[in-house]
Amino acid sequence: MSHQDIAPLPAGYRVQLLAGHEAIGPAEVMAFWADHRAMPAGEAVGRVHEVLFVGLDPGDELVAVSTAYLQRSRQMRMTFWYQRVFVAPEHRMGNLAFRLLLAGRDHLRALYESGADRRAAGLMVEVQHRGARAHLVNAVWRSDFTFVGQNHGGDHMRVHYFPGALAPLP
Amino acid sequence: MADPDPQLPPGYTIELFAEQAAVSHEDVIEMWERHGAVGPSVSGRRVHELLLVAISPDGEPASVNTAYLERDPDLLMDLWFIRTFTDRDHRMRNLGLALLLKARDHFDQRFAGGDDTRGSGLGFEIENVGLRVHGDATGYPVGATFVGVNHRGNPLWVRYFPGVLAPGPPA
Repeated sequence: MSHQDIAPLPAGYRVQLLAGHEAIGPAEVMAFWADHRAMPAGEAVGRVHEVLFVGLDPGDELVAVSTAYLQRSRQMRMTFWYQRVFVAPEHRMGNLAFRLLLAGRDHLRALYESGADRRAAGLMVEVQHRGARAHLVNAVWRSDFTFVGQNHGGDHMRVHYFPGALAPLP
Repeated sequence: MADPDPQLPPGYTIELFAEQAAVSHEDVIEMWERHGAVGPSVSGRRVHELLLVAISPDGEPASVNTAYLERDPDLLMDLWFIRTFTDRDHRMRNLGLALLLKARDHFDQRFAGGDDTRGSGLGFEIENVGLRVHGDATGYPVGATFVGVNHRGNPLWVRYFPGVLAPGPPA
């Protein structure tokens, strides 16, 4: 699924890289998470350094955050970027979460292709949001995320490989 | 990744085993056993899994593939697994790949037409240690995607049929 294949964001909403953003930094993200009780404060301290993209509403208010971290998958025997997205409840419409996911996919893939960051061969997502999972049940999404199994909680795991990624055979 | 050239050498044909009369079950068993590919204890059962046969210009079986349905306990999906054997005298002619492409098209069409929706895709399990080299995570061998190391410890690639759905949560 290209960016053109999903509905556009509602007027005025946008997705931007946190790095280099003038008005929003780690403190604003921490406050946003705390306001919405997105996670315990102790966890937020660690995750704030994993922030990748932010979603802004028409008033330039922070309404969504995506984070990415590296983790080795025992099943795949490969290292992937794992991406998580939190959207403020009152802004959970208009595909904002999916836009953040695709922005992260494109950003990390570009880093891989340029050689700037080749630590991971692809991007893994665990589809925890029940609404999203019920809606996106195809084994292969058009956005090139392929179903590779379920985790212990029954969440679908999907992988997007970067171009030229190799499978690490025993 | 574009599929490699699947063209057959002159004089060779590929047929659905069930729809041809030139090659019999006994011909295939003889080929398997002559090359030690499939032993007598297995050939009698596997011969009923024959899907496609490549027939040489002399009317002999040059390469065959078999297909069986198996549930993958990690994906919680049923997949078609394909085995291919090519007679040593007919190797280096891309027969194995040609059979694989034909098998893919065959299963795609049957799934899309609703004739056989038992499997959700094609599974490719690399058991041969000699073949365990680094491979593309996507595209190998016919648009399949690496989905991990399976319950037998073998690397598994899957090519889902177009439009197939992922399973629901475990019971």
